[in-house]
Amino acid sequence: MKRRPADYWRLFGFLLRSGLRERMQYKANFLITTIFRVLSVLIDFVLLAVILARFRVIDGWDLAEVAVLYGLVSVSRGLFDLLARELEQFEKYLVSGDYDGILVRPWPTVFGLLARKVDVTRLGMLLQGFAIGGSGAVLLVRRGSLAWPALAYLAVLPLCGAAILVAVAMGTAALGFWLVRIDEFYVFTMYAPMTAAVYPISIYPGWLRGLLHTVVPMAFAGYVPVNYLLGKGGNGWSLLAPLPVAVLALWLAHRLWLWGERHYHSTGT
Amino acid sequence: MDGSYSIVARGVSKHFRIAETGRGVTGAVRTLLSTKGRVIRAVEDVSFAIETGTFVGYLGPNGAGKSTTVKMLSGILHPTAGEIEVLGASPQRQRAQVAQRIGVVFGQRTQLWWDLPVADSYELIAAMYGVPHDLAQQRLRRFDEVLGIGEFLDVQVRRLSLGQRMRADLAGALLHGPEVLFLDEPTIGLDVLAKAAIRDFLREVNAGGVTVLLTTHDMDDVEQLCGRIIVINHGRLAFDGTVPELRQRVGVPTQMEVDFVMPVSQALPELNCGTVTVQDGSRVTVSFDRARTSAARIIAALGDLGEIKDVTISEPDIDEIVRRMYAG
Repeated sequence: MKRRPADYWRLFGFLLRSGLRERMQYKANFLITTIFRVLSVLIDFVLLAVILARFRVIDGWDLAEVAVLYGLVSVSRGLFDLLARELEQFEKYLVSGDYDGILVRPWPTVFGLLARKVDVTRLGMLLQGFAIGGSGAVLLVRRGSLAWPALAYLAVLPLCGAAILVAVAMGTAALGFWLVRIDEFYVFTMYAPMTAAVYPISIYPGWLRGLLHTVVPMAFAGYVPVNYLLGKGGNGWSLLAPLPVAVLALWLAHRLWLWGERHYHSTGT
Repeated sequence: MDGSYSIVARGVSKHFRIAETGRGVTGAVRTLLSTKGRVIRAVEDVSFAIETGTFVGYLGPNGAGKSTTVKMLSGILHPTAGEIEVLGASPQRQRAQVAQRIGVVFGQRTQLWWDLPVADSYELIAAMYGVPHDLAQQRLRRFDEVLGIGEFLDVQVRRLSLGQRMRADLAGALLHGPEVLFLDEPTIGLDVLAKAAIRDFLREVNAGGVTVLLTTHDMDDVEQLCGRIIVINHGRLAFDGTVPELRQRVGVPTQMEVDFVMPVSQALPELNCGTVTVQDGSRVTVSFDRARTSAARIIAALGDLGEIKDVTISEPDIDEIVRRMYAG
């Protein structure tokens, strides 16, 4: 049967509402989890701010500018955690054999995997990312480093960032079809790059910069376009690059996924 | 392609290459680069054709290749060799298309959403398979009548008992009206009442024209539901036919116990026609093949030993039949 993209989004919406309803039942747990999540993001940023207070600027980037990078990565990550976290949890589906249940459904397996869980508690990180990034951006506009229209661009850029994260996670997860034990890989393919992308990439050695522009193209989630917007370098292409990079990354990751699926072993009896 | 066959397997094999997978990045790199490893032939050259509307039991000892076969039929695994057709399409090349028309239930795993109420899972399933709301409701009402799912529709799946979860999974697998149903040990771990309810339900489903392939270790499942059984052992087909045919083929003897009023002191008569006699105080046990002699003749021959108080005849347990089949 022909399914339209709208069908998939509607189902995500249903899962979101359903998950929220379910979470709210455990009010104390929901409250505590949310508070801790908020705190952890705040502490994360405070540490960043402390570093910057000490060093004033990092390679010419000050706190407000780094805050924008931080916000972009946070929102990208929040979107990813909200909708696609199961890609990062793929090992447990392989070990338990639960992936079988996803293969017998008449919809694309990646969607089937993602639809297993929509983590509503990640909305917090999204909002915080907007708050921090937004504050930094507004400050920069007032200062004259950014034009107002740039805010509109920055608000949608995380969609590319999230797409890049989905691609990277999907590629890493696909390795699981051959290797099964892949949990540790995510540290290299996701956590490290996400942390690195918060700072201006110019501070890193050449090989790391190269990785962040190619294999794990998180540079395009924030640094590349923002670098140009702040007049520090790059050109008009820097603004356009994130989209094709995200699309290409997704396409490649998906091809790897489909190839790996043929090799799926499942578990024993 | 013959439309009267819902499931066709032709020379299907599945071989697994097992290598030592190391942990972490270095271990993984070693695995990727190594070409060594042993081959496990889980399924070897299996062929069968299942007509639409039959209820087939798929038996075999653990490790025989049952689950592997069912996983290939339902599109989970790709065969190493051979061709599979389910409802005229390849579950490998047309996975989504076949998935739309089949239902699968795993006895030990649920396909419902763990943290959500059962009803939410059904809503998701109905939406994704394109089942109109009214039709879904109608089917759910019917499931409630036979399986009693109404009592736990608003309970989270993780809070259900095994019996409830099994019933919920069954309803979930049939909600979209599949034409073929694959069941992997659906009654495992259930109590007598739950098993009976599920068997009644499956009987009704099959009567409605759904082709059912059931993997099971429970011989009552087989005797009560299956018109045909296929036995697989060490990856190869060992038997394909009906239960009576299996009985005849394996030749497990019928057992007769004759209780005498007084302990038997005389020597036991020689009964030919392939019978064995055992004496135990006042009870004589005789194993015989019904095809070669009759119960009446045996009783007549034993009558000389004394006054008979009682006679019990028991048909070979299908457990015993299958056990011999597996061992052979």
